[in-house]
Amino acid sequence: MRLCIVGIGGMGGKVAHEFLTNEDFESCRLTRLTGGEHITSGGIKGVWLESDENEAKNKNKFFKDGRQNPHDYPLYFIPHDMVPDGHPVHVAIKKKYGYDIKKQGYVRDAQYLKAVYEIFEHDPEIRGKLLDLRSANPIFDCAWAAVRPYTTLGRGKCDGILFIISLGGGTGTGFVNPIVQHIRSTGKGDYPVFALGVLTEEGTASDREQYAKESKRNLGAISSIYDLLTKGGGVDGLILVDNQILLSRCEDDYTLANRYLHQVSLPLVAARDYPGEKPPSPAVRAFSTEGWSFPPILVPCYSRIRRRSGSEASLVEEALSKGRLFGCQPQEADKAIVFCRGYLDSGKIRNAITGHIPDLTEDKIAVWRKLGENSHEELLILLRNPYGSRGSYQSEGTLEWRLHRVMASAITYMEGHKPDLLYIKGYSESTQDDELTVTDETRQALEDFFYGDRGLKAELEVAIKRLEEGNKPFFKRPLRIFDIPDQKSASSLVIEDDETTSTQRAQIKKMIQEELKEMGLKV
Amino acid sequence: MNLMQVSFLAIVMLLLLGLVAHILNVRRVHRRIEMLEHKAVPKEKLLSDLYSCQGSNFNALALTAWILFLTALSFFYLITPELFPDRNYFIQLPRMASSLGGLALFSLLGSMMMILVIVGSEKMPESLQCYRLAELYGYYSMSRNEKRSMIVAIPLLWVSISISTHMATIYPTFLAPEWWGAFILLFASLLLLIWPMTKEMWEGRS
Repeated sequence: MRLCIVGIGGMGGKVAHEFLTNEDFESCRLTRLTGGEHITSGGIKGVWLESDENEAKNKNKFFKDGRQNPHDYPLYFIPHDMVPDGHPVHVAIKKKYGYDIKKQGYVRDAQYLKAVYEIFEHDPEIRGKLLDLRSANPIFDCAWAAVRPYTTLGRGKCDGILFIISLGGGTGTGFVNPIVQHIRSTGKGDYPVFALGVLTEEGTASDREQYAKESKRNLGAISSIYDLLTKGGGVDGLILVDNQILLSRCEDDYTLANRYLHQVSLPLVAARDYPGEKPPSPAVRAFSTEGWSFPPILVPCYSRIRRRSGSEASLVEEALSKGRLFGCQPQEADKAIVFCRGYLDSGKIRNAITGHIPDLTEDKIAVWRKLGENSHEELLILLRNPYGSRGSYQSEGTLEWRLHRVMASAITYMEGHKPDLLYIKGYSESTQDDELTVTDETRQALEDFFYGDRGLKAELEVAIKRLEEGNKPFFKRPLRIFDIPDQKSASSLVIEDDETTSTQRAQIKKMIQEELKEMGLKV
Repeated sequence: MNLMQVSFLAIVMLLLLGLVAHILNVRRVHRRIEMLEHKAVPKEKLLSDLYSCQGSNFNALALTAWILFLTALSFFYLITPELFPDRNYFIQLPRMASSLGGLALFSLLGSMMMILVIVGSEKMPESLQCYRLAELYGYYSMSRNEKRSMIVAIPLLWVSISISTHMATIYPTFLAPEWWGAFILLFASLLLLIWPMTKEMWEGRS
């Protein structure tokens, strides 16, 4: 598994930095002599996608400007730079929708980039003005062009992508879905794409860091999670991490938390695989998505202990009890993907996991091992969908409890901040914010999206009920901003609707597949 | 045994320790993996999966350190006749040794010898690839800090060579602090160079 790490936004960039730090000596003169390459653990490559030029240029010294010298590494990219200032498309979007796609740092609302993506994808008038940019969707094409060369789809060696984002920030929260959709829309439906989302902590501690209050961050986060979990052709797994848990383990130090996140990921990304146990990303993707028609939630549980013989049981025990990086109930998981480093017996690991989660039979546990450091052994278990029991939303430490609070907070924000969400004149509470003046058409679309009968607020209310009842999954119906009427009319055909049973769904799928086969199309 | 012989023996022992540690490490990893896999694992396959590139710059510096080590060793023991009275540079090649670039040529000889060893080790078959000097450290998990501290051997060896050169020019005068200084630097450098092997041997013992 060789991943391309794509950090999006401020937090994504900082974590990507940890992953992409050169492990070789850095000396320009020596490199000129040796032809030395940038070496990272496990041969991973990566890039940082950022929206704030000042942040990328002046505050960061690690990532280099890809426009200056494309041979530099690692690079940062500002996707909206692709559209020149005052370009007809810039002007047209501003005029028709009210969005300024050149705004530094983007608008810190999750729906902003979703809207921009939809405009480029579906508005023929806007697409007609893009001819000279040689791209139908310049912002997302450009971002994909920055990532693609490192992947096997370009000329690179990475057989999968891991997006790292903060759920609740600005850029990462808004950008991840459109870029994943864009990758999928270019015909790369089966290319492994995972997202590691760090949910910002409760309280006011990160308000300043994220330039947003808790309830607004929660709306952004849940809106992004919603999209990530409902797009059928989206990510192959959303790895959820709770920043509150990370910070509690890292003495509230953000830098240490970023390092810890890297350390936790080493069993996944590092080199020195056991002979014959180097899993290609498509294998991990196949295992993680098998038997589940939605993108799954993966909760990481990590443990690291000093090496001793027969440590498998202790590692599993430690990971599942104290090592959860997001609230969850391990016994509810329907699969476990295990990555470990050290001299560990995969059979004993399976037995230990089955001991904790009896429902997980051996075929539902995949173990991939690497050699690590001699002094310690590490285990990373990605539990698939470890939630889904009635009433557990009331117990602290469960996934339902955490997401229930996030959703409730997001709904409260929507109820109390309608003018902000619809950009009604005078909405901005802060004098520092430039107010966005959207057109009536956009405002109506946003109102439908947020407050419509089948809008985000209504869907969140349904999702809360599903969480309370212990239903899996809790998000089902994809939402769009700009074609809400179509969405409404089409919704009765969505086969994931509550009303259809799993047998009906299977029958519908079979019928569609047979139809497609008859038409000579590949299924 | 005199001090010179004891010191030489200590260096040889340390070198052997590094070699033995490396052999044991590879064997131990192989044995453990086979035990965990419950089947035979071809050594070539194991070695190729175990190897991870430490970076061209690090490799270049590590090889430079080994080349300098042999040069420093030669300067310490082969210029003055204390260890090998009949086999030192000035007795074996007096004209060359006394010429203007005599010491430079000697260091060149030492370096060439080590380069030949490195190139020779590259010809080893796949099953012995772990003994190729240029790939030696690729079988160990090394942090950036470990790499940095290992490369400190290069300046240490330069200082050791400089002291040995001074000792040769003032011979037969013997300054004990100088001798000890050159020896300790040489010994410490070798310790740094074999550190990854000995560390892994120690940590992986249980």
